[in-house]
Amino acid sequence: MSIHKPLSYVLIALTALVLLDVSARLAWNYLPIDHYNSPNRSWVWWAIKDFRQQQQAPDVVLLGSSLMMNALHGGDSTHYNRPENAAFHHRSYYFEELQKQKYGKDVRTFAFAIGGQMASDAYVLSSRLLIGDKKPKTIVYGIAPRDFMDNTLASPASTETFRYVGRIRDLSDEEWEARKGFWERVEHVLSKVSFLYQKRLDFVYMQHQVMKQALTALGQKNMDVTKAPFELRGIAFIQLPEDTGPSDLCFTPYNEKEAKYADNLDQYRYRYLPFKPKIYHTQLSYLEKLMKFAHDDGIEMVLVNMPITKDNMDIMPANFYDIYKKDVLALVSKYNAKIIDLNDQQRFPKNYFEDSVHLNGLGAVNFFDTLSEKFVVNTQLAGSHNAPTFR
Amino acid sequence: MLFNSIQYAIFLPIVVALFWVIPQRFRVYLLLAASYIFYMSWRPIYIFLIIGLTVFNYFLGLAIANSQTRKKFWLTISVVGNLATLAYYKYAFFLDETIASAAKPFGITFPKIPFDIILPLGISFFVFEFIHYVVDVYRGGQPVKSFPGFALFASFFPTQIAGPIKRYQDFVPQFLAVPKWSMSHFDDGVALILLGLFKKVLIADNLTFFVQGGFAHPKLFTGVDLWIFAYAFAFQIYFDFSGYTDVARGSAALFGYKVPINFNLPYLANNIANFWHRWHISLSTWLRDYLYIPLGGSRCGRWLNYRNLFLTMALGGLWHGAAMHFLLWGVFHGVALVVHKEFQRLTEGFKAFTAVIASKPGNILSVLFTFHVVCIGWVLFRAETTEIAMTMLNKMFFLEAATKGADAFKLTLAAINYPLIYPSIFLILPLLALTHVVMGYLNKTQLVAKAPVPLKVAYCVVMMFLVLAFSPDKSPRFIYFQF
Repeated sequence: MSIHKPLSYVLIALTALVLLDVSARLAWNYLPIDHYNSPNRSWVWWAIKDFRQQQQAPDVVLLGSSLMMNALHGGDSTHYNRPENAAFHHRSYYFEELQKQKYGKDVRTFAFAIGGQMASDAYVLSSRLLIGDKKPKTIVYGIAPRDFMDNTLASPASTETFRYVGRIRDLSDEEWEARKGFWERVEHVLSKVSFLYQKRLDFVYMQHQVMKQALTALGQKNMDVTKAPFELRGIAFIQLPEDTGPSDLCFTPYNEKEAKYADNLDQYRYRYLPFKPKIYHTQLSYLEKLMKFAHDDGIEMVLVNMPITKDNMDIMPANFYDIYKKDVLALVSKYNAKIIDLNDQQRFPKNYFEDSVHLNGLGAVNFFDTLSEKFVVNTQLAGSHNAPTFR
Repeated sequence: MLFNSIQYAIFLPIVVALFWVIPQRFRVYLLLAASYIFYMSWRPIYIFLIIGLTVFNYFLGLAIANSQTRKKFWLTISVVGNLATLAYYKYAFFLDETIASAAKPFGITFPKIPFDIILPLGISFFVFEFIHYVVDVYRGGQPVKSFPGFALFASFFPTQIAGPIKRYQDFVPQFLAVPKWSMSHFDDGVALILLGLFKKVLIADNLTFFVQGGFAHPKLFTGVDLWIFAYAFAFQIYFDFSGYTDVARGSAALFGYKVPINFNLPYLANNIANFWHRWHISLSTWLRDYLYIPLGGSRCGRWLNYRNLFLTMALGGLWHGAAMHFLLWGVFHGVALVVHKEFQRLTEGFKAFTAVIASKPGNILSVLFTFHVVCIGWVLFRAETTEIAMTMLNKMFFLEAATKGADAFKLTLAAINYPLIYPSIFLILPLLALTHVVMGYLNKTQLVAKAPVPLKVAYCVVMMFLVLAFSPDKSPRFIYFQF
């Protein structure tokens, strides 16, 4: 089109796109779209899928990173001598059994123990999902220094948990603050301006579904079960969004002959060093938000300082562990919460671990035995206990 | 600043808007400043490199033009200076390692370079533009008098990082003339940018993961599987690089400037020489004008001509990267071109045979054959080591059938269903091949240019939606950025 014809097809298209965007924004909630759908089946996706199907609110919700995840799956698997599929296993049956033995009544658990979970993730999960008729009596949150200091984390908003919860719940109060970089915030503004951009994961999901249907029609069978060589899974793990098939990770009972100890200290050096106070204080502020949320909502909050090896503690920045303990204790005191310190090398010697931080099945059983011993179900004594200490 | 980033999506409209609202005499300065900001967004320190080379070549260009007796001397200084800079940044480690490994059997320990050298983005491209400039001035071309115009020629941000390699005779006059606003600049530019982003984000990026699996673990797959990986890479690199070029050309069009095309449906080439007339055209014409012809081109004996072809392609391979597999890729194409030329010479007298080749079925077979030859080259190009390339080629030529029997011919890829791109590849690859045929038809019939406005609007809306809705959080870099 020349200057003599001022009609620009690009400008007309842009106008049409804006109209499309506005129409999609208005119509979205009326469209037959399950907003919980995701093109990638992450650990948080599996957990929330299961949580939605729960008929009643759990009594105890277990939160934590892969440290809690290993304890949860490894504990049940070893105690009951059966494999536990991590995609579907979201209750600690062993802990429930121990509590029943102790108090003679049923305690129902639900675990949001998700690999890589930061304090910020624990907060968004709790404050957006553990509400209304799904409000638990108690939150047991297994914490460790890594949950507050992880250099692999670009920002609190960059985790899969934050993204997914942001898709299914309104996180507008948190989203700006959780994005630290200038461009991350620009991208966030863009997603607010353009509805189509904001909902792009839903479109990717639809695209995947169309492709799966086409492939099924062409003879592919059972597309939901992952069939891929381990080497390709490895590349996918690094480069693609977290995606786990329904049979991808099974925990098997502890077997002394097959037990191996892996040295993962290099990975943790990278996570801990150099110490970045900004990351630490941001995550600590999310722990405070979580504790305030629980306190205000009348949910009992029990922090569990997870057992880790001395090797791992030795590679932490100087004084970091002491600062972490002091800060956590201050919050526990402020919000009348409880803390159970299980980071005890006497109780959890190195043969209870499969690497420098993750418990093996043997350690996992011991973890719930010890936790249960120290744990008092929903005592409603929040206002009466003494100043907390790391026991 | 990647073309497929939010940074660029903000940067470009600001520069375009400023360009058209400020007085015309400031426009070159604006674009120059924008180009330097664009370059500094990666590593600010390298701005001194591009400015240093610009000053160096500007004055040497003038010296060559003004000198009556020492033209050759100034040209030599300039070409050596440019090549030395490129060699230092790009080939120092490669040379060091090659010499060290050659010296090792003789018990000589060759010292390693004790510091890091980070390759400046786009250096291969702007160094080639500088060499073209001084050589053309030496050959009698008019030097560029305007320093800002010359500086902008080398640093113009849409083509700064991965070309197309421009010619100053075509380009500098565009800067120095006063471009007039036209809605067609805007429309054509945006339409090209959308097409480029579509190619990059929706096609090339989705193929990246698939290709990576095969090239990282060729031992997992059979020869049949590896051919599919090679096809996929052929389309990945085409859509990635031609997508980049479309965004570059579209961005330039928004300022009213024309940048040469770089691709012309290369996989429709019916012989390897024809392929090089269609693939990375600005590089192949550069190699022709500044390497092949100076070496003697085809105006010499048959064997000298073959040597020239071979050397040009081998050096062209090395231009892509300081690694043995790039050199092998260049050597492979050099040999292919020599074989093609010899084949043409030998079959010249057989009219019936040449008629068959020229027929429609003959042409289709030639296109398929050429595509497969190119794919063999892509294996050398994409494989991270020569060892991986050889493993793949051994399997692709079914050499393992001797030990594995019929298993060597199995299609094992079909059993893999994760990630989704793996099973989808069997639907996607035929569609991508079809795009070449369809585009060939559209170009031939000029249907795109003649399309009615509603169709153009629909095309733009669809493209805008696809780019917006399917943009990944992290898009891999354009492949040609590394060169």
